[in-house]
Amino acid sequence: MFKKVALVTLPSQELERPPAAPAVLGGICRDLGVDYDVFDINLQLARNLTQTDFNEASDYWRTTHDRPLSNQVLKEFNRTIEHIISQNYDLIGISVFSRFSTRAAKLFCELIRSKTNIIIVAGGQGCTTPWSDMKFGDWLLHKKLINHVAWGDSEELWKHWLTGNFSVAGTDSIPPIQLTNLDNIPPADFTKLNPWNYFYNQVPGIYLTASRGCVRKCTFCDVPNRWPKYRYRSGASMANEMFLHYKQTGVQIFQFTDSVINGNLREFRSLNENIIRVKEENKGFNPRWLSQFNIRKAKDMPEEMYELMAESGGKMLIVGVEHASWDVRKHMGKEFNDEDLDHHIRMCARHGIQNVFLMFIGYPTETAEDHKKQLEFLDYYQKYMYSGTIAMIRWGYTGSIDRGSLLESKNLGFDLVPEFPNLKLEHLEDQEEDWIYGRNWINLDNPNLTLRERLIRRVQVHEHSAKLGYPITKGTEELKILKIIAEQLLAGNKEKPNRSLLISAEEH
Amino acid sequence: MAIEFEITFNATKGINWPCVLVLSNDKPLGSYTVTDEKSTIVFEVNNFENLSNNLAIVYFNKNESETIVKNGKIVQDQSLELVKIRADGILLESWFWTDNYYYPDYFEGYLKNVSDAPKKIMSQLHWHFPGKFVITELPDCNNFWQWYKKQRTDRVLAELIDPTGQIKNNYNSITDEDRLLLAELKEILLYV
Repeated sequence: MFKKVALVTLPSQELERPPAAPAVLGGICRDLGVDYDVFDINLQLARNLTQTDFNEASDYWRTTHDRPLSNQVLKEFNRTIEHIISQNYDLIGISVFSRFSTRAAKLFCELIRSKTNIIIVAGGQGCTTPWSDMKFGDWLLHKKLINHVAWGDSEELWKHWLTGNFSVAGTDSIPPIQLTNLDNIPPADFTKLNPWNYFYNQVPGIYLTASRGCVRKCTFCDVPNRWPKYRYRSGASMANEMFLHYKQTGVQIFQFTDSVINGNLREFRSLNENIIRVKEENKGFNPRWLSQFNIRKAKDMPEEMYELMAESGGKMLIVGVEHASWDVRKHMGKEFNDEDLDHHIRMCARHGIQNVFLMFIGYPTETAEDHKKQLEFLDYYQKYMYSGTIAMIRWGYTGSIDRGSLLESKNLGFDLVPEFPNLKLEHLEDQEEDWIYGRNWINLDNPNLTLRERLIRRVQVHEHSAKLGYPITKGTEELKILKIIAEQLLAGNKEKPNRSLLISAEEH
Repeated sequence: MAIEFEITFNATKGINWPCVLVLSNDKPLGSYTVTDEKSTIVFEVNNFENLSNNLAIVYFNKNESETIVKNGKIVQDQSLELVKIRADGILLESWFWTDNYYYPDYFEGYLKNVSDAPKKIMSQLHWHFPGKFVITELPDCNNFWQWYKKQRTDRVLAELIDPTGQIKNNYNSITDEDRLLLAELKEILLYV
C-alpha cells in the first residue's frame, strides 16, 4: 500500500469550483487510510499570475502554440514540483481533465521526471487525446514520463493502484470496464480542496456525479462509446452525499458532471424528491444544482416535473439543443421536436430554471434553409434570453466529427470524405485536430456545405446572436481557434480545393 | 406592447379573504379577492410609457375585526404574503419585488401603542396591516425585458469573484476582441 500520495490537477479547467477528480480519488484514499494532498496548479496560477499572464497562459493551453510560455508560469510549476519532491510522496497522480490539459500535463511530467523517479500515474479524459499518432496517455508512457495510465472509470482501478496492483482493468494496455454500481464509490473528499478558495458566484459549489453514460445515441457524440451503458446512483444516496458536503464545507451549489441527469425519469424524480426530503429535514440546507439535461418529449416532462426540479434547487440546465431545425435534430438522433423544445423553454421560464444551450453549426445534413431557421430561432426566443431562461449559448466550432462518434463511423447513409485531401488542420502542437474536431470534410450528398460555408455560417450565428444580446460562452476562445483554421485553410488552399471532388459531389 | 403580470400570494382568511387593488402608474387596473384556491392574480399593463414607472398593490380590506381573538389568543387573522411574480409567463427573480417598500396603513389602536411604527418597510412581503406595496423605477413596456436583463446581469457580476476575467466574459455577448476576431475571420474567408 502506498503511504503518501500527491494528487495534481493542471490547467486549463474551470475555476468556479474545485476539480472533481482529486476529490473522488481523495475520497478513496481517505476510505483506505492513505494520506494524501492535492495540488491544483490551475488555481495556483490564477491566484499568483497577473490577469494578463494568466490569460496568455490559457491561450497557450487552449488555442495556439505560437507564443512561448512565460517564465512566471514555469516558476510556478517548478515551485510546486520542488515542494512535492521535498515532501517524500511515494505516488504522484496526475489528472488530465481534457485535451486542454495535455500541454500542461506534458510540461509537468517533463519537469518532474527530470528530477525524480517517484512513481507517476495519469488518468482522465485528456489522456485519450490523439497525440503524435497515438493517445496522449500512451505517449506519456512511451516517453517514460509516467509509469502507468488509467483508461475509463478510475475509481475501482484507483483502489487497486493504491495497494500497488497495476494489473487491473483500465491500466495501460488492459481495456477498461465500466463501473456497474456507482453507489459503491466512497463519498468524494472536498476537505483538501477548499471550495471557498475558488471563484464562485455568491455561494461556493462542487462537482458531483449522479450518473454516467447516456440513454441516447446522438450521431456526433462519443459518450455511448465511452460509457456503453447508462448507470446512475440512487436518489437517496446522492441527496445524502450532497448534504454531507454541505455539512463538511458549507457548499450549496452542486454541479453534476453527468452527460444527462434525466436519462431515467423514474430515478430523476427520485433524485429530486430525495433532495427535497433532505432539504426539509435540515434547515439551512438550500441546495441549487446544475447539470447536463436531455430535453424529452413534452408528454414525458409535464409541468409538474419542472415544478419538482425547481423545488429541489434545479438552477441551470446545460442542454444539447444543437440545432433549431427539427430535420437536423432528427438526423442527429434527438427526440424532441419544435413543440417539445418550446414546451421545455416555457416550462423552464415559468419555474425559473436557466439553460445553457449547446449548439452545433454545420452538421453534415445542414442546408441553407436549416441555417436560416437557426438565425430565426434566435429572434423568436430573444425574450427568454433577456429573462435568463436561455442564460448562455455556446456555438462551438464548425461541424465537429469526434473520434468514437457515429458520424466518424460513416454508417449514416451519407458520404463524408476529406474536402482537401492534403490539408492538415491543427492549432495545438502534436494534437491531431482533424479527428478531434473533424473539420476538413465534405458530405457528397450536401456539397454546398463546404468548410468555408460552415465557417461563414458560424460567423453569421455569432454576429446575429451578439446583435440580439445573447451571452455567448467561450466565444473568444472559439473565434481564436476558428481564425487559425481559416488561416490554415487559406494557406492550404493555394492549390485550390479538391475541385474534382466537388464537381463529382455536385454530380452525385 | 403590453406586459402580462401574474402575482401569487399566500392568503389567510379572517372573516373575509384579503382584497387587493392593482395600480399601474396610479391608474387602477382591477381589484381582486385572493383566496387559498385563487391565490394568483393576472392583469395586463400597457401604460408604462415614462422613463420610470411604478406598479402598486393596495391591500385595502383589512380592519381590526379581521383578527379574531379568543381567550387572548389570535385564532384567525386575515393576512397576505407576496410569494412570486411572473411577467409574460416568466418567473422573475426575487429582487424584482424584494428591493421595494411596503407602506402600511396602521390601525389607530396600533399607532396608539407603537407611535414610532415605520412609515415604509423595505422587503416587507407579509402584510398584517392594510397598505400599499410599490414596485418603482420600472422601464417603459417596450424596454422591459432589456432592462430586466441588465438588472439581473449587473447583480450577478457585482458578486462574482473572478480575478481571471474569464468567468465574467461568459456574461458578455461580445467583447472588443471578439469583434476584431470576427472582422479578421470574415476578411480571411473572402480569400478562401
